[in-house]
This record gives sequence, structure tokens and C-alpha cells, in this order.
Amino acid sequence: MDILDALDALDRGGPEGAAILPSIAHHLDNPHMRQALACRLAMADGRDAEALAMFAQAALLGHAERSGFLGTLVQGRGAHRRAIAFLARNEVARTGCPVGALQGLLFYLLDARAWSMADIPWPLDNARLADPALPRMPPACRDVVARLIATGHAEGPPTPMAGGEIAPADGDALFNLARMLRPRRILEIGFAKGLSTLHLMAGAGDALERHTVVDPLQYSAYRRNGVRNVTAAGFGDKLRLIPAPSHVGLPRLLAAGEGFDLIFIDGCHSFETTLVDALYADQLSEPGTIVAFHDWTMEPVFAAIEFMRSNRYYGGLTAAHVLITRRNLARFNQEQAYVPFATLRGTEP
Amino acid sequence: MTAAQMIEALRDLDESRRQAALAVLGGPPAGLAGEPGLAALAADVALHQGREADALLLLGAIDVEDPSALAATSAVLAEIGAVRRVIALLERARRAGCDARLEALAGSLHHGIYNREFLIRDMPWPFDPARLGEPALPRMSPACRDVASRILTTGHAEGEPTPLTGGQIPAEDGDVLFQVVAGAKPRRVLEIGFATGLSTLYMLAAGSIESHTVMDPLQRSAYRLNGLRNVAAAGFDGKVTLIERPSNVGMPALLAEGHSYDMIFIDASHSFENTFLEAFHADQMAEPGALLVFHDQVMEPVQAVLEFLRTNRGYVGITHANVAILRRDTGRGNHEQQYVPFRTRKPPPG
Repeated sequence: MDILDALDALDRGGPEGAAILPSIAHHLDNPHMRQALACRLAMADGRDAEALAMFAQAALLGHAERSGFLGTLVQGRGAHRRAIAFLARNEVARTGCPVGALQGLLFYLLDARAWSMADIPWPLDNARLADPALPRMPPACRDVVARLIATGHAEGPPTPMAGGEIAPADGDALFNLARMLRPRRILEIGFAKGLSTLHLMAGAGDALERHTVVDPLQYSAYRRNGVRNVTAAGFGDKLRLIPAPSHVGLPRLLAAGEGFDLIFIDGCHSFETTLVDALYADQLSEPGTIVAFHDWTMEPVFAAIEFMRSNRYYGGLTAAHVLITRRNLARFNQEQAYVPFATLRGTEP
Repeated sequence: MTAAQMIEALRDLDESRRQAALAVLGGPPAGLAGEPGLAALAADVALHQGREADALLLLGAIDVEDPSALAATSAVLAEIGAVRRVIALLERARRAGCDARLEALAGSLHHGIYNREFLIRDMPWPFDPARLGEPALPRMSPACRDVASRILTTGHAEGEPTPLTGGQIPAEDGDVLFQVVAGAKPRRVLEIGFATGLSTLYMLAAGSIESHTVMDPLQRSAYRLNGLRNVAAAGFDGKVTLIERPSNVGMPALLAEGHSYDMIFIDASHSFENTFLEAFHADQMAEPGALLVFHDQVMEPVQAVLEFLRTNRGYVGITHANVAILRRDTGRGNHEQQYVPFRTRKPPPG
């Protein structure tokens, strides 16, 4: 069995997890690495007190031993964030506590991950990003989308925020992106009336488990019309609204150990908020996560993307007003590798 | 709760505090804010009396789907200096599992902080720029001077030696920090990047700081808590709170908990992205007039961040040695319409 599959089995816990533990541990002569495997099994089985005791022991180890524990703790699919989520759920103290410090190191190591996508094919058939989305939506969703496109409004009381919806070609790109990627977890920054949300959710279809939207104005300026529209389209049970600015909401998701397969950034379009969104999207990404930006032709958005391209190794393509990217290379020690970047289109830095 | 009940609740509360609040508002708040403003005012009074449940009840009565009610609430809370207190209350409620509408109210207050508008005109620097180079060591207490001197000469003072020696600030940068604090007299300071705590000692030695929060995910592992040991040996035990988180997680948690600071010193990873995020979060936690201070201002990525703050966020600054001191003189809304391309490459010398 592949080591990643074996670790997955371990993290599912139960008798199968316990059965597979010795076969993985067999390859490890380091007791702290074996302890990390036992800790993972305890977390999977809901033996929280035992797992916390193992974290507490690991927190007091010397540097090399602790590194062995942490390295084995985070290895595999989603294990890193599961450990963070476990410690967050158990409310480890933020100050003055060795286990809290260990959790701080887990956040630190998230940023220090290294990977390359060189051998991973691009997951999309780019030629199909422009296929029309509307005919392929479920009827209830198509009805809401058609009304939004025609009048800028569907469900709920009228709001002063008219216009500003994404263009139909942008919606097609988002729908096809989600349909080809089949993400389980989507994060969207900027919700408004939910037109882009409907395209993403309809495209992702059954693969989607949860769609998280972040928008501080959903209640006030938009009178919850986005929520009403998504509900009328039949997707309400998969929607989670975080009614906060992204610089508050995204760090909260990171601190809770969440990760996403597709992230769409269409919030405030200032340079600072777009870059903050992009940097948190980066932290909330796994290798292969797609980060898409709306309005990439806007000057401040372009500049923020230019930083991500030149300094964080993001690459991709455009479809209408949507820029679809993924991080192709992750490596540590960014401060030594700074590259000045263009902050105005068509210029050199 | 009806509007009449809200007003009744305000009336029932402690008369002297109600009068004080009305005096701050310049008279009965009806003309300024209407009833939603009264609910916010009453909530803050209840909060002062330790009646958190009542405060949440009053805040819960605000219609978060009514933009004018939200605007009135924000205006009153800003007027009486209660925005961060109410944010802190709402964050506690959120963690305990409150109604989504209270969460939306907190989100709206954070949105208001990002979009706040202010103008500081012709305010002089709160320290003497000509004296930033004056030596600080002679003005420290003997215990503090002893610890600082040992770190300056050997890179190490209290605790076990660590492999990470030599990264501490030079004395001339410490002098700048000391003189800035001695002049500006900040009470609440946040420091990003702690290490052996030498910069912390220079700031604390100037005397005004009541609460100094330091953030460093490596303090326990790489630095073996030597920063805390040094601060304690210098006689500042009890003033320093250590947060063992990277800034991208730790700073937004402080913001969400309603903290704000008079001075924020940034000296952590120095990459453009981390320094930019730190500056962004610092900006959200700085009240008008607060100082943002950056170490290693000669580094190219740090200079790019400073250039952005100057050109796009209304900051003005001065530099001395390897320290840049900035203050935001203009806060304005609608940032996306006002983007100014900025220099990201360090200019050639001369």
C-alpha cells in the first residue's frame, strides 16, 4: 500500500486505523515519529485527552526530536490542518503554554511547506471554459441566474446596490472551472447577490460539500439577497456565510485549520485587500488548489496578482474577466528571494 | 425590543454615566443618530456596568439589514470610543455561539474601521527627531542596562545559549526606539518579532509602557524563551505578554478581540508578503495618531511596503539609522478608486 493511502487509513481511525499503525511505524526507528502516528490515531478515534497528552510531551522535546514528531504529524493529505483544527477545537491557550507554542509552529510550518507542480498536469481543459453555463444548470438555479442577469435582482427586498454582477462570460468561466475541477470545498470572497456563487455551486455539483462566502455587507447593503438567491436555487444547505471583512474572516478560517480546493477572490478591489485576500488564499490552499481572481484588468488587482506571480510562483490563464491560477512552486525563505514587481500594467518595476 | 423599550432601557441605567455619555455626544443623541444610536449607547453603558447579557440584548435589537441603523450605531460607538469594546464583546459572544446577526454587527464595525476617515493636520511628531540618536544605555535602570549590554556585546544574556545569536538590533537602532517611546509615551505597544528581546528592553526602559505584547512563533523553540528571561531579569516581568503565533494568525486574532495600540513595532520575517500583512493588520489596530515603526528599513522588500503605505494609505514617516517611524495622517474611504502605482525596487544609492 502507498504510504499516503496507509496514512489516510490511519487517520480514519477505528480498528482498521489501529491495524495499519504497526505497518507504518515499522519503517520508523525514531520513537517521536512513532508517537506522532499514535497521536494521529488518538485524534481520529476521538481520544482527545490522550492526544493532548502526546502533544504536551512533544512540546517539551528538544529541537531535533520535536521536528521528528511534527514532520510525521503533518505528513499526508490534510493531516497538517487536522492537527491545527484539533488543537483549535480543544482551545489550546494562545499565551504561555507549550502546546500553544506547538500549534504556533504548525502555522509557521504551513507557510514553510515546499512543493512543485512541475509533474502535475493542469486540471482544466482550457478550450471549454467558455461553454455556456445556463443550459446545464438545474432548473431552479437557472431561473434565479436568469433573473439576476436580466434585472440585477431576484429574491428578497430591492437594494440600492444595483449592477456590479459578474458578466455572463465570467459566469461561464466559473461554472466550467468548477465543473472540471470538482472541488469539495469552495471559498469565495465577496458575495453580494450570489451570481458567481450560483455558477460555482452549479458547476461543482455533487462534488461540493460546502461553499463558504465572506462578505461584511451581505446583511446591510445586500439585505441577505445573496443568501435568499442561493436558497431559492436549491443550494442553501451547502452555503456558509461569514459576515465579516476578509481580513477578519480568512484568518479565522486559517486558525480553525480549514483548507480549500477552489478559492475565488472578488471582494474589495483595492491593492491592499486584494493582496491580503491572495496571501490568505495561499495559506488556505493545498498543492493544486486553484485561486481565481475577478476583475484582473483593474489596476490594483493586477498589481496584487503581479506580486503573486513574481514572488509566490502563481501561474495560469485568463477567461473573460477571470484569472485562474495555481501555485506552481512553494519554497521557504522568501525574504531572500524578493523580486521587485510591476505595480502598473505595461511597465517595468 | 421596540425603540421605546430601548430608550426605556437607557433611562433605567445609571444616571451619571448616561449624562456623561450624552455630554460626550453634545446633547440628546436623537438628532445625531436616532434610536439605533441610543441602543448602542445603552449597550455600552450596560457593558460598563458588567451587564454583558443586557448589552448583547440591546445590540441584538439593532436591525443589521438596515444600513442607516448600522451607520447610526457605528457613529455613536465611534463618538464615545466604544467600537473596540463592543467588538471584543461581540467576539466573546461569537465564540460562545451567538446569533449570526451579532456576528454581522461585528463584521460591520470592522468594515467601518477599515473605511474610517480622518485627517491629522500639522500635528508635530510626538518626539524630537533631532534627539533620536542620543544614547539610551545611560538612561536605563542598572538591571536593564546590564542585560542590554550583555546582549549587545555577546548576543546572549539570560538562559541557555541558542544557535540563533547575532540577529539582535544594533545599539543605534535601540537608541531610536528608546527616544521614540520616551517622547511619544505610548501605553500599549505591540511588537512583532521578539527573539532575545533587546528591542523590547529599549522600548520598556523609556518608562511609559503599561502593556507590551510581543508576538513570535519561535520564542520557545528557537530562542528557548530567552527573550522572556531577559525581560524578567531587566525588571519588566509582568508587563510583557508573549503570543506564540505567526503574525498572520496572531495579529488578526488581536484585532478580532478588539485590541488597539499606541505604537506597533514590526521586526519579524522581513519578506514583502509578511511585512505587508503585518502593516495591514497594524493599520487596523492603530488609532489615529498611533505610530507604526519598522526595523530594517533599508531592506528592499520592507522599503516597498513603506512606499505603499506612503503613496496609498496616507502615511508620513521619518527614518533614522535602520528604523522607519510612520504615522497615518489621512484615513479615507473608497480605496479601490484611488490606487497609486508605487515603487517596489530600491532606488540606487545617491
